[in-house]
Amino acid sequence: MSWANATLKVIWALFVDDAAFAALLVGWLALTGWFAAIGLNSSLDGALLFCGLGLILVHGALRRTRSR
Amino acid sequence: MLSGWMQLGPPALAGFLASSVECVEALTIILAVGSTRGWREALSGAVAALAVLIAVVGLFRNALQRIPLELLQLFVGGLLVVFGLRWLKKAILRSAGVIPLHDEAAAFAAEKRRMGSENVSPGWDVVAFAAAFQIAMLEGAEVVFIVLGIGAGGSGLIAAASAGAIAALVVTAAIGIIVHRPLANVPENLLKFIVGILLSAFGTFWFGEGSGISWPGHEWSLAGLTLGYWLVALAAIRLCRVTRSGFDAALPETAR
Repeated sequence: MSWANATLKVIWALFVDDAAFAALLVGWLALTGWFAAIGLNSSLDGALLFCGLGLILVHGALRRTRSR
Repeated sequence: MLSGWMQLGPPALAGFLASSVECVEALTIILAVGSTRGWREALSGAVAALAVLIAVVGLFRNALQRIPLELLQLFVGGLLVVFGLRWLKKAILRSAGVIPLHDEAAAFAAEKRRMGSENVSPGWDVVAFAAAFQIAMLEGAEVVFIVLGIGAGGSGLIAAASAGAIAALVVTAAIGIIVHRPLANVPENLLKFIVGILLSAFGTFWFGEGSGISWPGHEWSLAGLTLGYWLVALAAIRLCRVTRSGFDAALPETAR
Protein backbone atom coordinates (compact mmCIF):
# COMPACT_ATOMS: atom_id res chain seq x y z
CA MET A 1 0.00 0.00 0.00
CA SER A 2 2.85 2.39 0.81
CA TRP A 3 4.33 1.55 -2.61
CA ALA A 4 1.04 2.56 -4.29
CA ASN A 5 0.88 5.76 -2.23
CA ALA A 6 4.45 6.63 -3.16
CA THR A 7 3.70 6.02 -6.87
CA LEU A 8 0.57 8.19 -6.70
CA LYS A 9 2.53 10.96 -4.98
CA VAL A 10 5.16 10.87 -7.73
CA ILE A 11 2.49 11.03 -10.46
CA TRP A 12 0.70 13.87 -8.64
CA ALA A 13 3.97 15.80 -8.33
CA LEU A 14 4.49 15.54 -12.09
CA PHE A 15 1.53 17.86 -12.58
CA VAL A 16 1.05 19.79 -9.36
CA ASP A 17 3.56 21.75 -7.33
CA ASP A 18 1.30 24.77 -6.89
CA ALA A 19 -2.27 23.60 -6.19
CA ALA A 20 -3.89 26.99 -6.85
CA PHE A 21 -2.12 27.32 -10.21
CA ALA A 22 -3.15 23.80 -11.26
CA ALA A 23 -6.75 24.37 -10.07
CA LEU A 24 -7.02 27.60 -12.09
CA LEU A 25 -5.71 25.84 -15.21
CA VAL A 26 -8.13 22.92 -14.82
CA GLY A 27 -11.01 25.32 -14.10
CA TRP A 28 -10.26 27.37 -17.21
CA LEU A 29 -9.94 24.24 -19.37
CA ALA A 30 -13.30 23.01 -18.06
CA LEU A 31 -14.96 26.37 -18.72
CA THR A 32 -13.64 26.81 -22.27
CA GLY A 33 -14.36 23.14 -23.02
CA TRP A 34 -17.93 23.73 -21.91
CA PHE A 35 -18.16 26.92 -24.03
CA ALA A 36 -16.99 24.93 -27.06
CA ALA A 37 -19.46 22.12 -26.29
CA ILE A 38 -22.46 24.47 -26.20
CA GLY A 39 -21.24 26.42 -29.23
CA LEU A 40 -20.79 29.77 -27.44
CA ASN A 41 -18.46 32.25 -29.22
CA SER A 42 -17.29 29.46 -31.50
CA SER A 43 -15.02 31.71 -33.61
CA LEU A 44 -13.20 32.96 -30.51
CA ASP A 45 -12.96 29.73 -28.51
CA GLY A 46 -9.30 29.10 -29.41
CA ALA A 47 -8.23 32.67 -28.61
CA LEU A 48 -10.22 32.57 -25.36
CA LEU A 49 -8.57 29.30 -24.33
CA PHE A 50 -5.05 30.60 -25.07
CA CYS A 51 -5.54 34.06 -23.49
CA GLY A 52 -6.93 32.58 -20.28
CA LEU A 53 -4.07 30.10 -19.98
CA GLY A 54 -1.54 32.86 -20.70
CA LEU A 55 -3.03 35.09 -18.01
CA ILE A 56 -3.04 32.25 -15.47
CA LEU A 57 0.63 31.61 -16.29
CA VAL A 58 1.60 35.26 -15.73
CA HIS A 59 -0.54 35.47 -12.59
CA GLY A 60 0.99 32.25 -11.19
CA ALA A 61 4.55 33.45 -11.85
CA LEU A 62 3.89 36.87 -10.29
CA ARG A 63 2.16 35.35 -7.26
CA ARG A 64 5.19 33.11 -6.68
CA THR A 65 7.53 36.10 -7.08
CA ARG A 66 5.60 38.12 -4.48
CA SER A 67 5.51 35.24 -1.99
CA ARG A 68 9.30 34.78 -2.17
CA MET B 1 -4.77 15.87 -40.31
CA LEU B 2 -1.28 17.09 -39.83
CA SER B 3 0.89 16.81 -42.86
CA GLY B 4 4.52 16.99 -44.02
CA TRP B 5 7.10 18.30 -41.60
CA MET B 6 4.34 19.65 -39.37
CA GLN B 7 3.40 16.04 -38.69
CA LEU B 8 6.76 14.70 -37.60
CA GLY B 9 9.11 17.64 -36.96
CA PRO B 10 7.59 19.35 -33.89
CA PRO B 11 6.71 16.10 -32.03
CA ALA B 12 10.20 14.71 -32.64
CA LEU B 13 11.83 18.00 -31.58
CA ALA B 14 9.67 18.31 -28.46
CA GLY B 15 10.37 14.67 -27.58
CA PHE B 16 14.11 15.18 -28.09
CA LEU B 17 14.41 18.40 -26.07
CA ALA B 18 12.17 17.28 -23.20
CA SER B 19 13.94 13.95 -22.97
CA SER B 20 17.36 15.63 -23.10
CA VAL B 21 16.54 17.59 -19.94
CA GLU B 22 15.37 14.48 -18.10
CA CYS B 23 18.30 12.36 -19.36
CA VAL B 24 20.85 14.96 -18.20
CA GLU B 25 19.28 14.97 -14.71
CA ALA B 26 19.20 11.16 -14.54
CA LEU B 27 22.78 10.92 -15.87
CA THR B 28 24.05 13.16 -13.04
CA ILE B 29 22.67 10.84 -10.35
CA ILE B 30 23.68 7.63 -12.16
CA LEU B 31 27.24 8.98 -12.53
CA ALA B 32 27.32 9.84 -8.82
CA VAL B 33 26.05 6.37 -7.87
CA GLY B 34 28.41 4.61 -10.29
CA SER B 35 31.54 6.51 -9.26
CA THR B 36 30.79 6.07 -5.54
CA ARG B 37 29.32 2.58 -5.27
CA GLY B 38 30.24 0.78 -8.50
CA TRP B 39 29.11 0.77 -12.10
CA ARG B 40 27.53 -2.70 -12.16
CA GLU B 41 24.61 -1.76 -9.88
CA ALA B 42 24.27 1.79 -11.23
CA LEU B 43 23.97 0.64 -14.84
CA SER B 44 21.78 -2.37 -13.92
CA GLY B 45 19.36 -0.06 -12.08
CA ALA B 46 19.17 2.33 -15.04
CA VAL B 47 18.68 -0.49 -17.57
CA ALA B 48 16.00 -2.16 -15.41
CA ALA B 49 14.08 1.12 -15.17
CA LEU B 50 14.42 1.62 -18.92
CA ALA B 51 12.96 -1.87 -19.55
CA VAL B 52 9.99 -1.13 -17.27
CA LEU B 53 9.37 2.21 -19.01
CA ILE B 54 9.52 0.65 -22.50
CA ALA B 55 6.96 -1.95 -21.36
CA VAL B 56 4.72 0.83 -19.98
CA VAL B 57 4.88 2.74 -23.30
CA GLY B 58 3.99 -0.46 -25.17
CA LEU B 59 1.01 -1.16 -22.89
CA PHE B 60 -0.28 2.42 -23.02
CA ARG B 61 0.25 2.64 -26.77
CA ASN B 62 -2.07 -0.32 -27.32
CA ALA B 63 -4.61 0.98 -24.80
CA LEU B 64 -4.59 4.49 -26.28
CA GLN B 65 -5.40 3.16 -29.76
CA ARG B 66 -8.75 1.88 -28.42
CA ILE B 67 -9.86 5.26 -27.06
CA PRO B 68 -11.75 7.63 -29.44
CA LEU B 69 -9.34 10.30 -30.73
CA GLU B 70 -11.37 13.34 -29.56
CA LEU B 71 -11.66 11.98 -26.02
CA LEU B 72 -7.96 11.16 -25.96
CA GLN B 73 -7.00 14.63 -27.22
CA LEU B 74 -9.27 16.29 -24.66
CA PHE B 75 -7.91 14.33 -21.70
CA VAL B 76 -4.23 14.14 -22.66
CA GLY B 77 -4.26 17.71 -24.00
CA GLY B 78 -5.58 18.94 -20.65
CA LEU B 79 -2.90 17.03 -18.76
CA LEU B 80 -0.23 18.31 -21.15
CA VAL B 81 -1.36 21.91 -20.56
CA VAL B 82 -1.05 21.50 -16.77
CA PHE B 83 2.30 19.71 -17.14
CA GLY B 84 3.75 22.08 -19.75
CA LEU B 85 2.67 25.30 -18.04
CA ARG B 86 4.13 24.03 -14.75
CA TRP B 87 7.48 23.58 -16.54
CA LEU B 88 7.18 26.95 -18.21
CA LYS B 89 6.31 28.74 -14.95
CA LYS B 90 9.40 27.25 -13.26
CA ALA B 91 11.60 28.24 -16.21
CA ILE B 92 10.18 31.80 -16.05
CA LEU B 93 10.89 32.00 -12.31
CA ARG B 94 14.45 30.70 -12.83
CA SER B 95 15.08 33.18 -15.68
CA ALA B 96 13.78 36.02 -13.50
CA GLY B 97 16.06 34.97 -10.63
CA VAL B 98 13.17 34.16 -8.29
CA ILE B 99 14.24 30.55 -7.81
CA PRO B 100 17.79 29.24 -8.30
CA LEU B 101 18.91 27.50 -11.48
CA HIS B 102 19.23 23.73 -11.34
CA ASP B 103 22.90 22.99 -10.64
CA GLU B 104 24.04 19.60 -11.97
CA ALA B 105 27.46 19.87 -10.29
CA ALA B 106 25.80 20.50 -6.90
CA ALA B 107 23.32 17.64 -7.44
CA PHE B 108 26.25 15.35 -8.36
CA ALA B 109 28.20 16.33 -5.23
CA ALA B 110 25.14 15.92 -2.97
CA GLU B 111 24.35 12.45 -4.36
CA LYS B 112 28.00 11.39 -3.97
CA ARG B 113 27.92 12.50 -0.33
CA ARG B 114 24.65 10.63 0.25
CA MET B 115 25.93 7.46 -1.42
CA GLY B 116 29.24 7.67 0.44
CA SER B 117 27.50 7.82 3.81
CA GLU B 118 25.45 4.63 3.18
CA ASN B 119 26.95 1.29 4.21
CA VAL B 120 28.12 -0.94 1.37
CA SER B 121 26.88 -4.49 1.85
CA PRO B 122 28.99 -7.34 0.47
CA GLY B 123 27.81 -8.80 -2.84
CA TRP B 124 25.00 -7.07 -4.71
CA ASP B 125 24.70 -3.40 -3.65
CA VAL B 126 20.95 -2.95 -3.29
CA VAL B 127 21.22 0.73 -2.26
CA ALA B 128 23.12 1.67 -5.42
CA PHE B 129 20.78 -0.36 -7.65
CA ALA B 130 17.70 1.22 -6.01
CA ALA B 131 19.10 4.75 -6.31
CA ALA B 132 19.86 4.35 -10.03
CA PHE B 133 16.53 2.58 -10.67
CA GLN B 134 14.57 5.25 -8.82
CA ILE B 135 16.09 8.24 -10.61
CA ALA B 136 15.80 6.57 -14.02
CA MET B 137 12.14 5.70 -13.31
CA LEU B 138 11.35 9.18 -12.01
CA GLU B 139 12.87 11.08 -14.92
CA GLY B 140 11.78 8.39 -17.37
CA ALA B 141 8.14 8.63 -16.23
CA GLU B 142 8.15 12.27 -17.30
CA VAL B 143 9.59 11.28 -20.68
CA VAL B 144 6.90 8.59 -21.09
CA PHE B 145 4.14 11.07 -20.30
CA ILE B 146 5.59 13.62 -22.73
CA VAL B 147 5.89 11.02 -25.51
CA LEU B 148 2.34 9.76 -24.94
CA GLY B 149 1.00 13.31 -24.55
CA ILE B 150 2.58 14.57 -27.76
CA GLY B 151 1.52 11.37 -29.51
CA ALA B 152 -2.13 11.86 -28.55
CA GLY B 153 -2.75 13.83 -31.73
CA GLY B 154 -2.91 10.87 -34.07
CA SER B 155 -1.16 7.86 -35.47
CA GLY B 156 2.53 8.25 -36.23
CA LEU B 157 3.08 11.02 -33.68
CA ILE B 158 3.99 8.63 -30.85
CA ALA B 159 6.63 7.12 -33.14
CA ALA B 160 8.04 10.59 -33.93
CA ALA B 161 8.08 11.65 -30.26
CA SER B 162 9.59 8.27 -29.27
CA ALA B 163 12.32 8.66 -31.90
CA GLY B 164 13.15 12.09 -30.44
CA ALA B 165 13.26 10.63 -26.91
CA ILE B 166 15.48 7.70 -27.96
CA ALA B 167 17.82 10.08 -29.81
CA ALA B 168 18.11 12.19 -26.64
CA LEU B 169 18.88 9.08 -24.57
CA VAL B 170 21.56 7.93 -27.01
CA VAL B 171 23.16 11.38 -27.29
CA THR B 172 23.17 11.96 -23.51
CA ALA B 173 24.52 8.47 -22.76
CA ALA B 174 27.25 8.88 -25.40
CA ILE B 175 28.30 12.27 -24.01
CA GLY B 176 28.18 10.84 -20.47
CA ILE B 177 30.46 7.95 -21.45
CA ILE B 178 32.91 10.32 -23.15
CA VAL B 179 33.12 13.11 -20.56
CA HIS B 180 32.40 10.94 -17.48
CA ARG B 181 31.11 13.83 -15.38
CA PRO B 182 27.82 15.71 -14.98
CA LEU B 183 26.78 17.80 -17.96
CA ALA B 184 26.85 21.04 -15.99
CA ASN B 185 27.33 23.21 -19.08
CA VAL B 186 24.07 22.19 -20.74
CA PRO B 187 21.79 25.27 -20.79
CA GLU B 188 19.16 23.36 -18.85
CA ASN B 189 16.85 26.26 -18.07
CA LEU B 190 16.80 27.37 -21.70
CA LEU B 191 15.87 23.80 -22.70
CA LYS B 192 13.14 23.72 -20.04
CA PHE B 193 11.87 27.08 -21.25
CA ILE B 194 11.63 25.84 -24.87
CA VAL B 195 10.12 22.50 -23.82
CA GLY B 196 7.58 24.21 -21.56
CA ILE B 197 6.49 26.38 -24.50
CA LEU B 198 6.25 23.40 -26.90
CA LEU B 199 4.34 21.18 -24.45
CA SER B 200 1.94 23.99 -23.55
CA ALA B 201 1.33 24.70 -27.26
CA PHE B 202 0.73 21.00 -28.04
CA GLY B 203 -1.51 20.60 -24.99
CA THR B 204 -3.59 23.67 -25.85
CA PHE B 205 -3.92 22.53 -29.47
CA TRP B 206 -4.93 18.95 -28.58
CA PHE B 207 -7.36 20.12 -25.90
CA GLY B 208 -8.95 22.51 -28.39
CA GLU B 209 -9.21 19.80 -31.06
CA GLY B 210 -10.74 17.39 -28.55
CA SER B 211 -13.29 19.90 -27.30
CA GLY B 212 -14.37 20.82 -30.83
CA ILE B 213 -12.62 24.18 -31.15
CA SER B 214 -12.02 25.16 -34.76
CA TRP B 215 -8.45 26.46 -34.90
CA PRO B 216 -7.77 29.10 -37.58
CA GLY B 217 -5.24 27.71 -40.06
CA HIS B 218 -5.69 24.24 -38.51
CA GLU B 219 -2.27 22.70 -37.74
CA TRP B 220 -0.55 26.07 -38.36
CA SER B 221 -2.20 27.23 -35.15
CA LEU B 222 0.47 25.16 -33.38
CA ALA B 223 3.09 27.60 -34.65
CA GLY B 224 0.92 30.53 -33.56
CA LEU B 225 0.41 29.00 -30.09
CA THR B 226 4.16 28.39 -29.77
CA LEU B 227 4.90 32.02 -30.66
CA GLY B 228 2.12 33.21 -28.38
CA TYR B 229 3.40 31.28 -25.35
CA TRP B 230 6.93 32.49 -26.08
CA LEU B 231 5.79 36.13 -26.01
CA VAL B 232 3.70 35.58 -22.87
CA ALA B 233 6.68 33.91 -21.15
CA LEU B 234 9.04 36.76 -22.10
CA ALA B 235 6.53 39.27 -20.73
CA ALA B 236 6.17 37.20 -17.54
CA ILE B 237 9.96 37.14 -17.03
CA ARG B 238 10.09 40.91 -17.38
CA LEU B 239 7.18 41.42 -14.98
CA CYS B 240 8.69 39.03 -12.42
CA ARG B 241 12.06 40.83 -12.61
CA VAL B 242 10.40 44.22 -12.08
CA THR B 243 8.32 42.84 -9.17
CA ARG B 244 11.38 41.17 -7.66
CA SER B 245 13.56 44.26 -7.86
CA GLY B 246 10.71 46.32 -6.35
CA PHE B 247 10.50 43.92 -3.41
CA ASP B 248 14.29 43.85 -3.01
CA ALA B 249 14.44 47.67 -2.99
CA ALA B 250 11.70 47.81 -0.34
CA LEU B 251 13.55 45.42 1.97
CA PRO B 252 15.69 46.92 4.75
CA GLU B 253 19.45 46.58 4.19
CA THR B 254 19.83 43.85 6.84
CA ALA B 255 17.14 41.63 5.27
CA ARG B 256 18.76 41.52 1.81
